[in-house]
Amino acid sequence: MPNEFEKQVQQMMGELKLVPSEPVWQKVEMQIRKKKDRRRLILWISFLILLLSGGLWIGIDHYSNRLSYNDSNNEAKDNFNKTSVQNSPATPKKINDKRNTGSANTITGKLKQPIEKANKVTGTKNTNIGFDEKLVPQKKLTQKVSRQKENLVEEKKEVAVTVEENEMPPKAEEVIVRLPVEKLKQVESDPRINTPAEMMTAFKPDSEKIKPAISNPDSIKKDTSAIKKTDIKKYAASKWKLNLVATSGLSGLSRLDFTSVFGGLKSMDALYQSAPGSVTNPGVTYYGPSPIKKGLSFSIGASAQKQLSKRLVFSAGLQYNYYSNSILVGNKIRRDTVFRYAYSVSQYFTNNSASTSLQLERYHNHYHFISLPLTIDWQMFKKFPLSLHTGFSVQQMIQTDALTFDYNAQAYYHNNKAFNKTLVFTEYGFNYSIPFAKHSLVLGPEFQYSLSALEKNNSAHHLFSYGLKAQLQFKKK
Amino acid sequence: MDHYTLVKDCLKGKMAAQRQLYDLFASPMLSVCYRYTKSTADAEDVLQEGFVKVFFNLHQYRFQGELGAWIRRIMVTTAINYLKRNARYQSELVFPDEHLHAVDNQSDPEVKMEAKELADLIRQLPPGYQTIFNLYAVEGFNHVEIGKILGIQESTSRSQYARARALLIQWIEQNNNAVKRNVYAK
Repeated sequence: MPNEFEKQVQQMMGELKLVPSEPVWQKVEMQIRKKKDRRRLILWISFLILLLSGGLWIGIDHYSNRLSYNDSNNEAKDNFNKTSVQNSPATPKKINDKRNTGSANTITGKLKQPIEKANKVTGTKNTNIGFDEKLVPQKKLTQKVSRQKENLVEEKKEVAVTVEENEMPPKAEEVIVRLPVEKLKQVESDPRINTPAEMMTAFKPDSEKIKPAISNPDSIKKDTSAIKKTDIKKYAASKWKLNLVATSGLSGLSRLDFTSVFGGLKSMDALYQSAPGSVTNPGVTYYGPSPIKKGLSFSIGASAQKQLSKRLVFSAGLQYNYYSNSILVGNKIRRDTVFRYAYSVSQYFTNNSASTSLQLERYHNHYHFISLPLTIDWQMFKKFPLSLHTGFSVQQMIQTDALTFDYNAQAYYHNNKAFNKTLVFTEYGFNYSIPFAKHSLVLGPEFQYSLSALEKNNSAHHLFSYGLKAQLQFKKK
Repeated sequence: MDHYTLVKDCLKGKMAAQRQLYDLFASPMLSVCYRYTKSTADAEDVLQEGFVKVFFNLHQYRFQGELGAWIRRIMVTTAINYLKRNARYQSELVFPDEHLHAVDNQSDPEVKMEAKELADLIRQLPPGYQTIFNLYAVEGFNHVEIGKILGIQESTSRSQYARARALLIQWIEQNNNAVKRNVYAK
């Protein structure tokens, strides 16, 4: 218990004021700026590392995607039946081309996770994402997409996709005051309707008519509309915020054939369901398309986000998406050949078993897309920062080295024209928001599925991917 | 400008607001740092370090309690950490557990001096005494809390504080006597 002496000392020390020299503030200011720049640098370096890792992975994968004698023969023997050999019109030749001695079980070095660990949260959680940031210029984004039909007659089609950044829901007051004119005239001329309450009741359908127990529905209606107007104005005034997004996971090709579900024609793949990779016709054994093994997928990009309501957030973005998968292909044949639709190639991979020296190698298909995702995040709980994430993305293929399978020749070959270049994906997931310094870090699983078929001649193959998404939301400082 | 708006502006990175916050609290906080150190230069070093911590942890301030009190707590912690890691103070910042001679209960003297003079007297105490005296008498921590802050036992804090208090009172009385002599001499 402090007595008089302590109280005196306390009082006197409280009155003591000393003036610091000016260099003290200059040093403080310098330290603040330095630390801020350092943090920004660390963030950018992290994303750069992610980008480089992805590029390195692609590069290594491409490099290893050359044929070599490998041990996948054992896998082939397990999967495929060699019961008879057909007199094939195209007998594969042995090719003594230069091959890498590296294993075709390609490099599966671990890719660095986009966000290795979230920073520890100190203090209480800050779920206020703020509305003050003005980020993107008020311009329309348009994208022209051109398509070419599969046959030799080329047809260009332009599709404009416009995304307006300031798209807002219709204002509440517009909905409230938009009354049918004829009905209004009818109500005005009705002698039974004298009070505003009776007028309000007249505009409602029977199922919604308010019971007379409500004393003053006019004031209730005004209050509700006033609240709605305030909320709408508040969210309409909210500004766009920038996010950096990265996803990492696995991708593959689904072999779901929806036409068969509805009793339509089965796809060629479905014919091989009973014995994967093979189907038996009397006296003939074919080798079908290889089982598809999932590969790495990742995406990176930016998005602009706007708060539509208390729990609803809309995002529009621009991303680079990478998908991959792998298949088993046979010997590489260097010969001018014409496949379906008069498509000629100078080399292909045969999966035909006619040759006893058939050796299967693993080949990696890579797909590179630029995408425009449009998504909605809905916060499921009032106080818990967990959101349901859903939306669509339009993805344009910019490059691929994937192979297409020809069922007649039982061979894989390169044919970029076989692919649909523009695909529409749906995406689903969950987002969990964590405060990160003065910004927000959002983590969660994500699943993407292409509504459009990947190949023009195969409606069964749809690209899909799933993995972990990390998103950094920048808050205005 | 009220503290709420000032803090919000500082969090937005507005330089003018940050300078204003500094100007508002630099003077009283330097006084705090002055009492814990032995020189003005050291006090300013602690002040600089403390304000850097203030700006980087400002987002943790929840507007519960006064802003000045929150900043003061950061300054005190910064000062103590500075003493612990500074070579000049390390050797003297000791808190022996051995039993100290009992101190006679002295009557509380009337402190007849300027605030700065009293602060200078406090700074003349050995660093261990000085720190415990500041924490108990000026900041208002109890001995249990001081024990946790400094990593010492409560009994050590009590005995060290008693010695510091006795020493300071002795110097204050000497100063009071010197003042009286000067008055009578005139």
